[in-house]
Amino acid sequence: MSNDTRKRILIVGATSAIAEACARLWAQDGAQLYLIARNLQKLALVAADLQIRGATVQQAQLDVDQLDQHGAVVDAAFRELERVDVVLVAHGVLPDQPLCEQSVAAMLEAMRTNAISVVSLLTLVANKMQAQGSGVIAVIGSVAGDRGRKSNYVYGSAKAMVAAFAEGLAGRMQRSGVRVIVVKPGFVDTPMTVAFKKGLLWATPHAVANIIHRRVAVARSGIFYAPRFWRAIMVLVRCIPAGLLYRLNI
Amino acid sequence: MKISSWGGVSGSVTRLARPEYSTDIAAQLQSLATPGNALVIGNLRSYGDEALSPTGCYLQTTRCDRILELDQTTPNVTVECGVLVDALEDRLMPLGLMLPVTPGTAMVTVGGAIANDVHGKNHHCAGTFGCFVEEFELVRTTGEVLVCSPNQNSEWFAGTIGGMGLTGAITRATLRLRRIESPLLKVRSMRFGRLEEFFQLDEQHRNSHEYTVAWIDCLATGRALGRGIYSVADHIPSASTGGTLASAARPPAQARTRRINVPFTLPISPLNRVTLALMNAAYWRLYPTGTQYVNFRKWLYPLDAIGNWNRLYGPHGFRQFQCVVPYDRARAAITQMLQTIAARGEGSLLAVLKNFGSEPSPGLMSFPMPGTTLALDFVHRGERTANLLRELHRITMEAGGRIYAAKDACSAPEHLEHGYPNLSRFRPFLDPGIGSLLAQRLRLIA
Repeated sequence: MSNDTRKRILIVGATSAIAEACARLWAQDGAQLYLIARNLQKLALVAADLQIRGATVQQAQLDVDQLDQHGAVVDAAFRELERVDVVLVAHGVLPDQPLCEQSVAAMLEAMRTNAISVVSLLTLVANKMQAQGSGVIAVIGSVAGDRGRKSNYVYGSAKAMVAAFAEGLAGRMQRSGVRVIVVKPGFVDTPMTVAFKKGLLWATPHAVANIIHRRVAVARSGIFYAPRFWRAIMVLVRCIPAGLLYRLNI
Repeated sequence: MKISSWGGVSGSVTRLARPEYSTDIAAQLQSLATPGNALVIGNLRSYGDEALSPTGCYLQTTRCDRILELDQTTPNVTVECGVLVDALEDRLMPLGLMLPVTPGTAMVTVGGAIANDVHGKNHHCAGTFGCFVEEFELVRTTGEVLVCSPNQNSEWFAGTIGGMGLTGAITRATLRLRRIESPLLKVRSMRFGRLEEFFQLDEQHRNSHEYTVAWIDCLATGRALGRGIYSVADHIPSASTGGTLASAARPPAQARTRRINVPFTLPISPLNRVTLALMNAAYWRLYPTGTQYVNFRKWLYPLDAIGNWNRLYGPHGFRQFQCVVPYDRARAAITQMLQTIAARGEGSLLAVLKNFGSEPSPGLMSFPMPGTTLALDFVHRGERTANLLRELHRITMEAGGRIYAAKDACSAPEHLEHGYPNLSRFRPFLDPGIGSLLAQRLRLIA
């Protein structure tokens, strides 16, 4: 089946709401999916549904915090798929900010899940894609990474690292035929945010997935906000002088 | 944060659990049910207070929306409880498969459809939604997990179908499917001038058509009392008349964009006695009678084309009323109801009349029974509306009929006792950690 035209897609964090919404769109395109997640019981439910929606699905287990296992899992995925057209790195947790302020261990753990594991995987898949001379890497950043805010800077700084890393990687991959896309969602109605009060600025995982699906299909490398109006909001937020930002309760 | 039923009954939320996976429901329900009276909710399409928790503790299932198994040979499908009928049909249509029974909107979850044992325009030949449920898993706040089917835990099966969500949470279900060759229905509509003609038309047509339903102009009075449009429809054998199965399914990305949407609640309702009378009369006169071919989803779920149509009823929402009255008392009781409504100058845009069939419902508390069902909605005008509904409830009870819980917000415990002979058999299945405002009002719980 190595010459068929179906997209071959590797998804890390496949049980996350945004990743699953993306996978449903790719399933509808008839894609061949290689899903990686920590919880195999949940992954099995996701995989069953995607198959019925039109995808071919393979599953593998990975706890992204086990950094030493990344290499073997990525190797296996590239071996199984033979060629990988798209990689989506979508895992993440919303850390307990007050806890992370008091406990270095908790803070570092959040950094490992949201930042270190991501850049580890990005390096591994980028090198594989560079070797095959093609591919798209999509990674999920966050508007929270654009400024360090006192209410959420542990999560924000991890996402800032991911965005800066991916941007640099995009530059490095420029001549290799590999594109790197950072999608920065605003407020998304996911399990991460189920306890939050929702207003006009909130988007569904499905809306964010539509943007990722489209960007992966057509866009150049770059940073994209999802939904797009967040770009305008973040231009303003970036203009807030530090002295004022410190005093704001955001 | 507030939560609101489709008819506009609202309450505040103190705790909301929204599991992403059906396998998480049991644990989340148990932790939610500690103070008691937690409630499992789906897409909030029931009209009254059935979907409101007395303590404001909710578990919403809409994110558990996966299709887990599809067997095209049987054919049947296993789904998580929160999948919408609409989304399920998007997947089934291109395969020439369909749910055998669906309600008048496809925007309900499968869990909700079971909990209300919903019915459709084909009740007289197909029975209720519950008739096609092969199996489901029920989790209770006590920690019990019960796989229920007609052969296994059959008493729980019967208690939960039509059990108003009060027996536990349905996590997943297996449903029998039917095959269709075309997405089109052949629909024939006939105008009738008074109530008696409805019964005559239905007598003539019900045995030869799969779907039958009548719309009535409930503002017409005197000799025109109960005039309306009677429609029959059938699946056509092949796609020769146009429209393929694949083209009838919408890709999810387009699902919501092609519809009209009511973006906000109108400050005052445009529906009043004068406008309703005009709209009803115009509809009765102008409705195209004769034969046409229509996509089954368009015909079965006409209001799904208008997103948030409940907002048209203004800030106070509306109240639904649906009863079923045994055949032998139906003519007199329905006439009396229509007279009452007309005399009070209240009216409804969507008065629907249908004769149920005699297929027994599988649930102890299922609403459908042999008889004639009348469904109406009224702009909510406080005490005035409540008085009218009380009157309609009284007529229903005197005629030996029953009220539909999914649409009800104000009937009394005696209506439940008179209407549902299996009530005492149902009570032992109530989950001690679950409660709704409806259950309190009807004294199902303390």
